[in-house]
Amino acid sequence: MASLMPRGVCRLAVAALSVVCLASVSHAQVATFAQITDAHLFDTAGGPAEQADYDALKHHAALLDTIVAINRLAASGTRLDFVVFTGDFGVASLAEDAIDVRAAEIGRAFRAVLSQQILVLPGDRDVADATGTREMFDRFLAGIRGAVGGRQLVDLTLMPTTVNGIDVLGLDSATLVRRVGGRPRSAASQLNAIARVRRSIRQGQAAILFTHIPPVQDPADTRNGQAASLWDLSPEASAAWDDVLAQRELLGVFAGHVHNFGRDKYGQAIDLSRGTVRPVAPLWVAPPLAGLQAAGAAVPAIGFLQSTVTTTGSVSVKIHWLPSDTFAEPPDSTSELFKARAYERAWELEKAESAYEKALASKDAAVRAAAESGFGRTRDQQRSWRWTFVENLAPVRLVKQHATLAFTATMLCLGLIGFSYWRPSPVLGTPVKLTSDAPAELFVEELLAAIDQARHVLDKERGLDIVSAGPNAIVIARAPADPLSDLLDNLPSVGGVKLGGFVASLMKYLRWFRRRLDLSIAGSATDLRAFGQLHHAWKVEAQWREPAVGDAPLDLIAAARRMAYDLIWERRYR
Amino acid sequence: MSDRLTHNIRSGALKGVATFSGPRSLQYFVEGLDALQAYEANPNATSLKKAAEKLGQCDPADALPQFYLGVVKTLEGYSGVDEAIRLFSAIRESGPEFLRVPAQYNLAVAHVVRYRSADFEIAEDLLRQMKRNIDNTREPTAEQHALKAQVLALLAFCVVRQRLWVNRFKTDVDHDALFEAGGTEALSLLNEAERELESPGLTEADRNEVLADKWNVRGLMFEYRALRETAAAREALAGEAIAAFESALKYRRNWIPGLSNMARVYQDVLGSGVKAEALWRRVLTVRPDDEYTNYRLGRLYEERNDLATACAHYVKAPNIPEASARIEVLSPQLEWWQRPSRPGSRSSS
Repeated sequence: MASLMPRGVCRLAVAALSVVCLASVSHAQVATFAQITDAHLFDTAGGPAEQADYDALKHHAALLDTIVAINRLAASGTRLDFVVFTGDFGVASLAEDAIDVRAAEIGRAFRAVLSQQILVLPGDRDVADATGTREMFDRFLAGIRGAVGGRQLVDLTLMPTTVNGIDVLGLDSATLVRRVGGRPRSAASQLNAIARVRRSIRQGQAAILFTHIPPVQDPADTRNGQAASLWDLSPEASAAWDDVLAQRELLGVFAGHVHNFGRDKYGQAIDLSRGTVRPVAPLWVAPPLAGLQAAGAAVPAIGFLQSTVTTTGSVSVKIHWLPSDTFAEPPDSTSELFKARAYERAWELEKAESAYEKALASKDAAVRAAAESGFGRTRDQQRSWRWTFVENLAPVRLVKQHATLAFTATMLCLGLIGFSYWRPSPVLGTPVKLTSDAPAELFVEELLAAIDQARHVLDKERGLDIVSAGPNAIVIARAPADPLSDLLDNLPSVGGVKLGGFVASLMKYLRWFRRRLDLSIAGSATDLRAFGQLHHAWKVEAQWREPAVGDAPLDLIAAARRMAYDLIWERRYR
Repeated sequence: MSDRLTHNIRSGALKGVATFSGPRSLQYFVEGLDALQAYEANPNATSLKKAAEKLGQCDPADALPQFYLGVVKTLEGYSGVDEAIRLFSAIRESGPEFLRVPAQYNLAVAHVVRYRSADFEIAEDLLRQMKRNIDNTREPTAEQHALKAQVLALLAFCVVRQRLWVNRFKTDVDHDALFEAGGTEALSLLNEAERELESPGLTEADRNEVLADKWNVRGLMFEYRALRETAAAREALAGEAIAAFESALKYRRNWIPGLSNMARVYQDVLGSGVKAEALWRRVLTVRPDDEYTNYRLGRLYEERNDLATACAHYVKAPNIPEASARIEVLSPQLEWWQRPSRPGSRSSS
């Protein structure tokens, strides 16, 4: 355990009266807490999908292991007054619709913590970098709060709290951090954040301060051979910060954020005096849960910080490292878990459920827990309307996968259908012979000739408007003739698909939407019966029988003429 | 004077939507219209008969076939003109809006074809009313210009007929004064009609019809003057009249008014029965039962003292009072000549 008893002594040496006053105002009270930080549960994406899944799983496992370790600590008799999480859940990377679900998961984990009070503050990965907005983080905290049961959950940056006579403060470091390539933070916002802390420090009341990003050099970023500071304060803010640090009531600053210190640096008090004569509150940096393996290190520095603070000014800090096997090779069935999650994201829920089921057989508790959660989730999703009516249908999945192509094809088809549907002139299909020797082809020719003659006669009238809105109004088109069929038959195959057949089928479908005259012919040229139906897509607009029931028999030409005028009248003059 | 095609139909004045009560009515209409178009291309009795038959089979509730039936009935002459007047009157009063003006014009034509003084007065009223309506139109269309030209030409004919023609044999009138008044008004109307022809958008057919009317009216005026002159001048004026009618026939082939008027000049003014008969026969190829032609042929045969043939023609003109009167006069003579006991009786064939 690293202890910092000398700090109080130093203070006595420099300002003995103050310490006496501090010590004398109350009996010495003690607060013990566990600080966990930088879980990075949701912001592991960026590399290969499976690596991201594995990292997410690993980080979840680290969080759960930490909670287990904290509980073990509590169970062994160590009193933990609160557990503080100093930022970087990775909330900013969550999809809007996933916030509540993920918050509930974390809430359930926090509910297992054997401490009545849980304090949190946001990290830089919890707020949107571009806008600095913390709406998502607030909603996330609300979700956790709803799932932690009777435990108290406090956002320290919004509400300081007092534990055993020690004020616990929070500093939102979002405005203080150095930005690479972005606009510098405004001095006013920096001053506001620091002033808020300064106002929270009460005279004669011991306080500790938690923040996410510490005011130290960033070992990962060196420019001109020197490490750059993680903070980038304006001169005014810098002075204000120095003033905060100089408050004798402030016993220490606790932060996270740094992933690459190496085990020897976490938990060590860092002097923030920057050469000033007066001693200032020291800084402790807690190790992250989502750890990077430092160069040359055997295992990554993953763990949590335990600290005991007394109102007399003593601060002791101990780091609990998590077992290295947590970060060794992925546990068994991890690949099934990865697969399950991939399937789940693609809404292939049956495969996801199967993979989760296999992962349930894992010997690793974390994998089993994740698999159980996923298994239940996929079962629930399969009962949802989205699965029943959308995702479970293969064509819909195909459309989703090729949305642009599907949209273009749909629009094209709709356009063609609309074009066919709104064409005024009917198309004449191949007539049906109701008797084997019915002169169907001849009937069609006579029918077309009669229509042509009618149009010719009507067109000759110069007052055409009175008898026809235009020649096209009584035009009837023939069905594609044999040469076109031959042409289609001879189209090559592409990718195993016979283009001719495809085009012919498409034309048939389009013709179905068009107005069409279907004819059935019976009898002979001297005593002929013709049946006609004018279809428009699914509708039968008119139907005729020539000769009509009760009429005298008709020869082929007379019947064809009658049918022609039936059609013209129906289409134009009704 | 008896015939006039319905110019306005050909001038495209009809703008509207026609409906038919059923496909059969439509079919008969198209078939009738086809026959009418064949008649116009080559006027003949067969086509006209077929047109009348087909249009007559159309549903009477369909206005458009009824209008065309009226046209056909007008073309039939005396025998059909009463029916034509009934049809056009009905359409003018209660037919579709787009047919009412054409029906009014054709009603005037039909009254002209009936060729009675009272009918001419009705026709003149109808035509003057149409002229006023068109004159009141702010921006007449090409069709209205064409219609106006036709109205003016027909009105000129009515003026000549009523002011001059009915008085041609009267002795108690001042013919010079009549000619001065009637001729001047008719020529003024024709000049106005010709000015209308200069309007843009008129077709060759529009112009031909009006020009045929113009020369026909001028021919009638020459004929009227010829009847007043002595032999030499009479022959010269008759030649002018014939030249005018020939000009009219250049614009309208086999036009019955042109043929009839020219035949009458040959018969009455020049006394050339052979040329007159040839022209009357030509009229009969177009309209075999034309009553006026039969009446004139009756007169011709009567002049030749072929009373049987004359009577045979007179009986084919039952609507012409003069023809009936001649039968009354000729019947006793015919019976006397045809008595079997009388030697040397002639055959009337």
